[in-house]
This record gives sequence, structure tokens and C-alpha cells, in this order.
Amino acid sequence: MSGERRSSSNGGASARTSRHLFPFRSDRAPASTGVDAAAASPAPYLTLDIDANHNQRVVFQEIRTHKRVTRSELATITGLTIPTIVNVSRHLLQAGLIVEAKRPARGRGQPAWELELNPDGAFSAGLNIDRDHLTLVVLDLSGQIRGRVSAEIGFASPDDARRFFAQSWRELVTKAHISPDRVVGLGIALPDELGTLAFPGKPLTYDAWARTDAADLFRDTFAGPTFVENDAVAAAIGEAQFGHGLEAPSFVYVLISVLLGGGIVIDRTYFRGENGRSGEFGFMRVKTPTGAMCTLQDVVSLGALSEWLKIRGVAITGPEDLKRLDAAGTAAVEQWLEEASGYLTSIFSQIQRFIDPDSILLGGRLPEHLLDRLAVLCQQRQADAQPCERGDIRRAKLSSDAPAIGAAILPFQTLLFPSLEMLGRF
Amino acid sequence: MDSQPQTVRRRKASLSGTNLELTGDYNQRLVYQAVRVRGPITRNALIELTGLAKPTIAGIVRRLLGSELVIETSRIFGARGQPAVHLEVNPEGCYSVGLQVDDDRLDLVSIDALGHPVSRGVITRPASSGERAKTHFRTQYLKLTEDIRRDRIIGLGVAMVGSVSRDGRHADPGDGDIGIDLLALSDVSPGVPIYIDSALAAATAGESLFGVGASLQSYYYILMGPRPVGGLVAHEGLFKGAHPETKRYLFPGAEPAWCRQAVAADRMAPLPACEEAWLAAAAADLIPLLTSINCMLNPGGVLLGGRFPDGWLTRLAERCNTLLLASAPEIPSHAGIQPARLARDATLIGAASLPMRARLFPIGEALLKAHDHVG
Repeated sequence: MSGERRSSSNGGASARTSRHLFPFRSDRAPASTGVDAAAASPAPYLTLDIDANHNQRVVFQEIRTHKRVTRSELATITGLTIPTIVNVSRHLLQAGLIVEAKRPARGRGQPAWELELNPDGAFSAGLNIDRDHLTLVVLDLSGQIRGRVSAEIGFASPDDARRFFAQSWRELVTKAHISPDRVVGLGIALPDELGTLAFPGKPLTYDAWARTDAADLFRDTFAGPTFVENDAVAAAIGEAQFGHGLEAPSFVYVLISVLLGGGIVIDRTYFRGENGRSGEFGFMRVKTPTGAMCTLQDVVSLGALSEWLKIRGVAITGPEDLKRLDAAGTAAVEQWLEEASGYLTSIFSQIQRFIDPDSILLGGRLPEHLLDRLAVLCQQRQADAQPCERGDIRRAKLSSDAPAIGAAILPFQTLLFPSLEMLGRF
Repeated sequence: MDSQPQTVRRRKASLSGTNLELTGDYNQRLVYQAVRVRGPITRNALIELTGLAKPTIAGIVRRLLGSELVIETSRIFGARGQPAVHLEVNPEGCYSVGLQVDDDRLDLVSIDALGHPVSRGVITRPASSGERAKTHFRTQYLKLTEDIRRDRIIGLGVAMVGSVSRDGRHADPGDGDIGIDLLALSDVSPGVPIYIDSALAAATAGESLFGVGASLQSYYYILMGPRPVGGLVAHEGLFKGAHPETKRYLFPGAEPAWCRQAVAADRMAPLPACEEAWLAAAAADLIPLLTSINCMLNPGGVLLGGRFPDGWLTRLAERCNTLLLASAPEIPSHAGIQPARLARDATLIGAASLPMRARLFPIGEALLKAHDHVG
């Protein structure tokens, strides 16, 4: 199917240098970071040098989402002129972010050159820090996971996280055969108020996170740009760029981790809220069977599930254990899902009334089959309550490692993808 | 989301009577809105505010002055040198006409460029549909616009309190009373584009242009009435939801009694005072909703608008602010609840704002120049 390939600077190093080369200068990044950075000699990284050129981002986005597309098709889709497209695609080719292939000959005339994404053109790392685990992934430009390391560590301190990253990073790039100098950045996803929010079993020293700037924590190992984001926000952004977000322009992402969070995407743009605290579904009130009020995350979260199982004599140490339960354990989980779906449905009906998104997506650290089951139960309850209207509820495409994957997408999003943040308010 | 109001007869976009092509240029809209919200303002302040280059601002301001949308005004005398020239929106620079289609009446208003009503009219229960209603409307329209320059009317906005059917007719069961054929409106005001949208979309358009919304990045708007509806205004307009054809009431089930009481009170003369029992009942229903909206959306504000008697919404907003802080202190954010500036007139002035929003407000569609003249 794929025709002859024209050579392009796949390796990156052969990209011709010019003053305004998109998207990166071919000279290596100077490791100009902290004092101990020089001693540890952090790996080189890929420097993207984009001056917020919206057209280049738009063209790249179209190539990325259309798989293969000719220049004239791009001109039609984007409304840009052919010379602009030619210029932009030349820069993208030189940068190694896209490759060119000849469309199979059909009929008469020269077959057209098609542009397609080069998955190996750039890589990005994503780290998820949470109260019960640390997960690191490396993504390629097509959003594929090329490497993953995860550790179930309870209340990992900033130092633990730094050691985990230092060990895992080199192992990961070696195993995945990724050249570190093609990595554009590191995204870090962690819950809000990680150090301060009261949580059962939290050691006193854990509040070190409140005094730690996660963006600076890993400079010894990775000197490139870092981006820090709330875990649920990262998951939602990831879903918008690589998951169901491509079909559902507006969706609500519900992240079931140790606690419960969420994110809202409206018309393909993340809606952050006034203080960046939108999507806090975990704090919403639900009524328990006894009539008492509690917050959603008190009853629907990985923490709540392990508590529920503990009371019923089933001990789990992490979400992996949920895949290896005996009959009694499975029954207890099913019972919990049944109850959790009731709480979720009461919140979902509010989401549908107040926001009305295309989809509500469930993600987080529950195993995929449990998220699927939970989505089905919610759909059923909704159909029973409101037979005429059925909102779409399903498992997110990026579900289990969503925060880590979403974190890895942040550098791509910031450096390469278009964004339409409007400035029309004063 | 379809934030473009439905246009019955879409004209090539140029302001009637001017050579100004504002519709296609995002930057011009941006500068005009900046002058509207921050005026009187100097050119230098505009450069700082918009981030546009000096020559760009100079060119845009020249065009805005030439089209009389903006005027040079007051000077503030400093100690030395020439006083700085300030720019302001010219109230007579453009006008817009709004229609609010209710079950039993049709309200009309004409507004100037600052959103101030110039003239009002009402048509109640015209005896028959069709030609009679059209004649009624023609008379009203001419009366409404007799004191303003008709060549400066940039559009006719229609807010449907019910939903709009495909052929542009008011789709509520009661529409036989009005029987307005919206397509026929364009015969009455030839050359004036018509924008039709829901009451909520109109109310938020008005608030974003002329009200509290102009200075908020995002807000949740609750439109009061017998059955309140609400929506998030973010990025650049009302998010109408994935299923705009289904009406979603904030309180499912029956009409809340406190809503019915307030709507009834609004039609009494003199207006009754707001009573404690009513406040308590309304706040009791609103607090759980406001708690949820704060958790879900963390909006910059919550605005209450709609046809409730004057002062009632203000009292209700005050009550909700107090109760929300007391009843849900643990939630991550508390947005201020306030009455919308166009509270009682929200839908009517909002209707008149629809053309202004579509043609002069910096919305994303203005960036899509390639598609601007399609249709």
C-alpha cells in the first residue's frame, strides 16, 4: 500500500539549520540547569523552537488526524494557500515530524505525494505521581506507548519520586530503543493538594509535596522542558487528543483513582474554570442508603473500593490484585460496582442537565473490564430512570494509565498542537 | 456547538450604510469590544490591552472612526503637552432590533450600540395569524425605528422562548396565537439580516456584550422563568450542549412553586415585595444546584436573570451567597452569585444583542475567514 518513500531527515540531525526552522533548532540543547545538573549530566533532549505559529500547528494537526493527506487536500481543509502549505510542510519534513510517500498510481498523470505523521519524529515522557503509585510512560508522536514502568509505592516522597524517575528513565529509553535526544519534554500529572489534603494513612512527612515544585524535581535526569498538570486534567487532555475526543468534541472525563477527579472538554478545548478547579466531581454530594450525605469520592474511588473489600475480608494491595480475585472477591466487587453506579448516575444526571456533553467517559486505575462494567451499569440505571433520553457513558480510550499518558501529551500539546484560547474578554 | 445564530437570509457581510467590513476581521472586532468595555481609552492603552502592533491599531481605529462606530472624545489634560485623545463607542454608530416571542405576546425593542433601549413596543395576541400579524409587526417596526438611522440597523434578533422548528416557525403549541412567520419578517425590514436563537442564548449574548459577563472569563447563567434553564458561557459563547434540540430544565419534574409565584408577581401592579418565605424556598432549591455547579465547572460567576420582579433576584443572589458559604465550605471554589445586569430585560435586550454578537463581537467564527461568506 505505502509507496516509495522520499528521504527525509528522519534522524533529525540532518535537518538543515535555518533561523526560523520549525519546529526545532538542530543544535542540541545546552544543559543550562541547576548546579548539580552538570555533575549528573542529564540526557540531551529535543529543543522545539516554535514561535506560536498557528498555521504550522494547524497543518500538523490535520496531517496527524488524517493519516495520509496531499498538500492540495491540506489547502482545502485548512483554508490556507498552497504556498503556505508548501512552506509549512517543508519545515515539518525537515524537522522529521512528518514523512512523505507517493500515493499508489491510479489513472493518468503523476501520483500525488502524500504527507503522513512520522511516529518516531518525537517522543515525550509522562509521569503520574499519586498517593498509591508512580507510573512513567514514553509516548511516540502517534500517541503509542513505547515504554512503561510502574511501581505501587504508598505515599512516595519527593525523594522517592526522584529516585524512581532516575532509575526508570534510562531503563525505559534503552528498552524502547529511543534516542533521548528525540524527547521533547516531560509531563507530570499529580492530584491537587497532594501534600495537604487529609487522607487516611497519610504520613506526616508527606506534606513535603506542598513545599516541592514538581517541575524542578527531575532536572538531574531530564533537563528538557517540564509541564505540571492536575492528574484528571491530564487524562482529559490526553483523551481529547488521542482518545474518544476525536469523535466527541465535548465530553466529561471522570477519573477514578485513589480519590475521584474529573475534567471537562468543551468543543475540543479544555475548560479549566476560574481557578483551575473545574471537574471536581469528587467533592459533589451524594446520599447514602442510610440517608446521610457524603462526598462522591468517599464512596466511589479506589480507596473506597479497597475499604469495601477489606470489610468483606478481601485484601488488595493495588489495582492489579483486582484482576486476580476469587469468587467471593469478584462477587464483592460486583456488589460495589452496583452501588457505585447508583452514586455516579445521580451525579451524571446533573452533568447532563447542567452541561450536556456528548459523552461521559470513565477512566482511572480500575482494571478496564471493571470500568466497562461500571459504564454498563450506569447506562442501565439511566435508561430505567429516563427511558427517553440516553446520554453516552463509556470507558475512556485512555483509561488505566490515563494520567501518565495525558501527562506525556502535555509537551506535544504545548509545543506542537494548535490551541484556540480566545482573548476576547477584558 | 453551533454558536452561530440561525440566519434566515444571510447577506454578504458588510455593515449596511458603511464601507466597513467588520465581520471578517477578528482584530477589528477585538478592538471594538475593547473600546466598548474599557472606553474611554487611548490608542496606547489599546495596544497594551490587545497586544496588537501600533500600526495595526492605528489602521483599525482609523477604519472604526471612519465608519463612525467609534468617536474621539474627552481629553484628560496632563501637566504638559498635548492631551491624550480618548476613544469611545459611538452610541449612534449602529442599532439593532430585538424581538422576544412569548406564548401570548411579542415584545420588541431597539437598542443603540451601547445596549441602551431606544424604543419599545408590544404586540399582544393579534387576532389572527398571517397577514394581520405581519401588518402589526410592520407598524411596530416602523414606530420602533423612526427616531434612529435605519441604514445603521445591523440586524434583527429573535429570541424564542420556546424552541425553533426547522421551517423557522415558533414551535411551541401556543404559537397559533402569534402566528408569526419569521421568514416573512425579512420582507418588513429588507436587507437586514435576521438571527434567531433560544431565550438562553439571547440572554447570554446580551450579558456578554453589555453586562457583567463582559468582564468574566466564564460564567454560568441561570435564566429564571416558570421553568429555569441554565448554561455555561465559556471560551467564546454559550455552550448549547450536545443535544440542543432537547430542552433541559434545571429542576426536572414539576414547575417549582417559587418560580410560578415570582412570574405571577412580575405581572402584578404594583410589584409585591420579596417575602422571606419565598426567599427561603428558592434558596433551598438553588443551593444544591449551585454547589454542584461550583464543583463541576468552577465558573467565574453565576448570574441570575429573567422575568422575576425587580429586586427579587438581587435578594436571592445575596441569600444564596451567604448560604452557599455556610452549607458547603469544603468545596474547592465558590463563585460569586449576582443578578445579571439585564435582569428583567435579559431576553429582550439579549435578542437585540444577537446581531451585535454575530457581527461585531470577537468570536471564533470570525477567524474562519474562508467560510465567512458561505451560505
